[in-house]
Amino acid sequence: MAGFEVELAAALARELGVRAVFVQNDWSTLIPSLERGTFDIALNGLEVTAAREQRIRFSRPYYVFAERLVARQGDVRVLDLASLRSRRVGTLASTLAWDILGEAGAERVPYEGVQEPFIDLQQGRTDAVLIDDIIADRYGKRPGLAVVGDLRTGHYAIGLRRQDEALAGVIDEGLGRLIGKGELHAILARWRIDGPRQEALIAAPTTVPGKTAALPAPHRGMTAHQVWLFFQGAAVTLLMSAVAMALAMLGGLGLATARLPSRVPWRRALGAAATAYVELFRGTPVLLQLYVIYFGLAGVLALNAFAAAVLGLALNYAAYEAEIYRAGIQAVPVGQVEAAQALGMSEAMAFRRVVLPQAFRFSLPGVANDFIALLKDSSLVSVITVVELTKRMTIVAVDSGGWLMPGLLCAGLYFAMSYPLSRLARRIEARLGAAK
Amino acid sequence: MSLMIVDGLAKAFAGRSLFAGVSLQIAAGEIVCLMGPSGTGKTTLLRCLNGLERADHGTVKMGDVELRAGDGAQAFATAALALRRRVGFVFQGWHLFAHRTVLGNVTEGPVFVRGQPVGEARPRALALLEQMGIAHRASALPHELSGGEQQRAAVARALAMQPELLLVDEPTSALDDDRTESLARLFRGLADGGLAILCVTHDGTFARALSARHLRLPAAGGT
Ligand SMILES: Nc1ncnc2c1ncn2[C@@H]1O[C@H](COP(=O)(O)OP(=O)(O)OP(=O)(O)O)[C@@H](O)[C@H]1O
Ligand SMILES: [Mg+2]
Repeated sequence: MAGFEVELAAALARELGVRAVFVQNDWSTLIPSLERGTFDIALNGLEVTAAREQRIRFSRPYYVFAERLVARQGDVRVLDLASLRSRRVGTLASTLAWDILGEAGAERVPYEGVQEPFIDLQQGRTDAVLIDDIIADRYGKRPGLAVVGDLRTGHYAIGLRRQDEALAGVIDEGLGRLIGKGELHAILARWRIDGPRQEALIAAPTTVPGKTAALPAPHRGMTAHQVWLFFQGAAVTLLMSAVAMALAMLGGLGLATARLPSRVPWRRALGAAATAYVELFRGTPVLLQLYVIYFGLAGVLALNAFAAAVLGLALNYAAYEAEIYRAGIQAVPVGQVEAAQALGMSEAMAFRRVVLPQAFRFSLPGVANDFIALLKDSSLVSVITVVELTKRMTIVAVDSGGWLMPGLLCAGLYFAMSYPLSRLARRIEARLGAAK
Repeated sequence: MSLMIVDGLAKAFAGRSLFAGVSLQIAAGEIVCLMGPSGTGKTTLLRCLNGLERADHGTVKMGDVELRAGDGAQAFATAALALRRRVGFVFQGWHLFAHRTVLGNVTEGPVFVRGQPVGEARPRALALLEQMGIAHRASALPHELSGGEQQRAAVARALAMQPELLLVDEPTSALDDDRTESLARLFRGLADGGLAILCVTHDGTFARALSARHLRLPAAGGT
């Protein structure tokens, strides 16, 4: 781990004569993890907002940040916050920028990493990125991109549990001493993020951070609109999974057919290629495949996020379907093929008329089970900015400040989608069992 | 005039000879019974006759189609395909298409191999099933049938292709006496109409009822 905040934490620990233990945590779940005691202080670009202040205690600020607007060079449509209405704008989910963009009526595209928003902006998949200046400085300096301006400033402060008031006092004092000795400034300077803006930290050393970046406090509990968004998320999940599964079934059929034993040299080569495909796609994580397709191939293959998600899932699951069909084809007794041949059918016709339909039936339970697995795997596509059901859940959970209700609703929706499938799979299995 | 001429057929599995130098001729309208102890290679011989199995030596000739044991894979496959359009086969294990109804099994060949319109193939198939006494099971799936019903459905499936020669492997193993007798009557009637039948059977009564020429395969390892 490296970063100015790591150095600050170390300096603070030295100042207070304690030992700092670093804990890795997802940024979007910093606050719940803090509350449940995974760590005692959260020091990781937590922006002071009214909503968060209701929930946790903030220390005095240690950095003044700006929400920086970046667009493609020469794109005159992106001027200011108002110009972002209805435009696709990338940022990190659940950040202050996310809320600001929501207020401004922009079409928000959520990212989990700090480089990807800029890759997509370059590719024209989004119109702008609104993100903390620290991140924009470090990752946004890419060819073809330009800073439009800073829309708003705010404070980073250390997050503490409300009941740890004593600890908060100690931290505040420690930070104050670091600022007073110029040590904080030295750290910022080392990371080249010092500047006139940071003088405010010294100028008003005792001010409790406040309404600098205030947005209206969000509702506790879920609004009807959020529930509606959940159903939208579920629809995205279902549509994406269904299309991906249909493609995977077709692709799997092609692969399984290519892998049938043959004496013809070019067919054997095709079979070897199909086998290599299956091994490659089964042997590597679908997350990686999605990344490569969407970000890695961005220059060659200009797909939007939904199409890339469908393609990624389909390519991955085609490998699994191919294996299921192969097993299904092998399960058809050889006597069935011979009976077809004895009627005068060619091998190809016997395969089409007799082997395939039976193999397909044998494969159905496996395919239905895979569809259920695909429904759940589809939550991975949030890494390439598709807001499906699980992503919607995490966004709403952070917005509404509670994970229980969104979590239950999300689980309920997944269950509603997968249970009928699992019933279907069992019915088919029972029917096949009777036919044996 | 011989319909099929078999010359010098030999087959061994893993060095163990089943039969060698088998020659026989079957004329149109003739019924031949092939008998012999279990494991002597009767089924294997039948399979060699329509190319499901490739003999080690010998030829099978039917009109201008000749299946030669020594041919290349492509030539052998082509000849086998041509032969099978004229030769019906009823398996010892029936092998009805598991995913099709009885009627579907019987129309499959005429419609998809012969290209007959379904409207023609269906009534003909139903008439055949009627003749076999299983018309009432036309819409059943094979696994819903008794052994005897499956056996008769398999005969109907082969006959629907209007073969010139019917190769039948143990067609009475699952039939009761009455059914056996009526099958013999059916075969005799078909033979009267010109169909040649080569029938493997253990059943002496059936063989006698067919009043046919009998051939025996000697116990394995012989000749
Ligand atoms: N594909 C094969 N590979 C190896 N051995 C085989 C193969 N097919 C048949 N055999 C062997 O050849 C011998 C003859 O088998 P076949 O089925 O032709 O006998 P059969 O005379 O029809 O017997 P039954 O009266 O029991 O039906 C048996 O010993 C069998 O195990
Ligand atoms: Mg046999």
